[in-house]
Amino acid sequence: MEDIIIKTVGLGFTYDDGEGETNPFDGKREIPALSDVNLEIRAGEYVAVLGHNGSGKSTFAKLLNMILTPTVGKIYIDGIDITDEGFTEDDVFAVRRKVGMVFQNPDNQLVATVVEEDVAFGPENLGLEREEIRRRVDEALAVAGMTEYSSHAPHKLSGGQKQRVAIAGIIAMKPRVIIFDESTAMLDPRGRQEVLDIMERLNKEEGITVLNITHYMDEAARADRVVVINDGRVELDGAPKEVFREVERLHEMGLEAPQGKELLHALECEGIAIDSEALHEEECIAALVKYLKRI
Amino acid sequence: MNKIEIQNVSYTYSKGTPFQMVALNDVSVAFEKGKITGLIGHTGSGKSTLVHMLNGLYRPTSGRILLDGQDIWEKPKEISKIRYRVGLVMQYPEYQLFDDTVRLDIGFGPRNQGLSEQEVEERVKEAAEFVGIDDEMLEKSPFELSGGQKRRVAIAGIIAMRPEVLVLDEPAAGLDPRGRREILGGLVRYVERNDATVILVSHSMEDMALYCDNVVVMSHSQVYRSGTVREIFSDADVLADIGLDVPAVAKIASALRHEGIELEGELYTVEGVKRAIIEYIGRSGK
Repeated sequence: MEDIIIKTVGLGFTYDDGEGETNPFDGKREIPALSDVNLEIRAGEYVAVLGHNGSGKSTFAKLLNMILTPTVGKIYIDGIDITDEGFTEDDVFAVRRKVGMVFQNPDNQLVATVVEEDVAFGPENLGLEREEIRRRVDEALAVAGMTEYSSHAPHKLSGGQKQRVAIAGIIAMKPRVIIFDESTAMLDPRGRQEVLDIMERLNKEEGITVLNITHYMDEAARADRVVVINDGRVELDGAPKEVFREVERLHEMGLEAPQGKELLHALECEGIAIDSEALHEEECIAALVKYLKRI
Repeated sequence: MNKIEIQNVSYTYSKGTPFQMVALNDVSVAFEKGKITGLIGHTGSGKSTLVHMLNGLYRPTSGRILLDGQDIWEKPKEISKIRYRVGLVMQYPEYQLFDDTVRLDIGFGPRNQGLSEQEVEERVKEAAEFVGIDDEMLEKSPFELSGGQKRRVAIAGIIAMRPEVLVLDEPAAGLDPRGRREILGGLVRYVERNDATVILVSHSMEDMALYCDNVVVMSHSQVYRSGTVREIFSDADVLADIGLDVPAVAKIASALRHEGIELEGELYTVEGVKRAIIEYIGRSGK
């Protein structure tokens, strides 16, 4: 049996009406944000979650981290039923320690005035020994590539660097899963690349399960698996090559494929079938060169 | 014809203090009337400073900014008038909404301009249409809306003042592909209908290629290149030299040309490259 780190069964969530919260994503009330989501995510997977604004993808992330409580269905994290009624506050903290979350706005996630203090905030709250905290902070800063900024003031860093500090703060908690909830949306291309690089390093080298919730198609294409959520339901789930083969369906859902794939698809619509497997830029170039040199 | 001309403009933050920093260094560039010009460059390249200067939020340390040939700082006390003519949509403008209903929020600017209620109503309707806000939404509180919808309301609030020049800093950041298309497509219609001038700041080269006529590239406080979209994106290497990308599809077209496959045309949009490939096949195949 493979190690299933996250499992959802018939998971659904409806934003409350009246005095309760309104869905912050589309402003609608009493409309299910998620329904009947059944997913299994294996430990060590690198999964991208795609969907248009208001599709329910962020609701999904908030359920996994227990910021929201499901209306129906079950969520198992590392085999533990986090929807169990007897769940205590301590249990909730235990889950959050396993599942860390990085949010969109880099300015909203930092609490201290010095980088290393910010990273130490989580471990300090775990009540760890001084030396252990020091060790974890140093390690986390190294993994996030922020060691040289350890004594800097966070507000003077670039957006990408701030996100890396936020990530270091999560790494210091030694989570098994990290969810990136549109963590690159507010960054410039350089900052985006920095965050993506760390995301992938954490997955490949540290064995952390990564969920990247995004609307950048090129980011999704880099993951091992892509889950597309539309109107609160899982519409597509598979390897990037399988998911991005469905160009027409993606368009119907208000999404796109990476540009290379879009180009091959547009040519195919004109009766020029080149290679339905190519997805990444280099693959598309190779397929086009091969085809065009033959004629 | 040039709508805005920047002449030898420099700007230094905190001048005369130890924190002094040059943000713009002798910049000269013009923005054509009736066109959408994209402004690209790394964070820190000076593009935000330039944008804030266009409607008089910052005053150049030296140099002039001409709007229809007239120096906007000729009468500094009247600079606020310039702000009705040059509308600025800042980053994440949805945080600036405040009124009870969407209708009131969009109408705030034109009402301040002293227009009659009837005119305000017309402006609100027109602006809402450009950004795709329906009648039902006009009666809602802006705070009930989604992030993407709020963004539209904020942009409509500026459009309702019917500025001759509309400057937008990352108006589509954080939106999904459909949301981007709707907002940026609305700008194209605004330009066409009002013969307006739009200046669009974005990190998305794909959006630049699709919606802009001209592109200005900033680097290290100066203008690095400026020209038509075709001129700027036809050579992937030029932008790569300063660490900027071209649209993915332009990179593909450029790689094909390096392989000796001679594509011609607008090689920076999916549609353009597709047409070029079909044409190439037509030329090569007997």
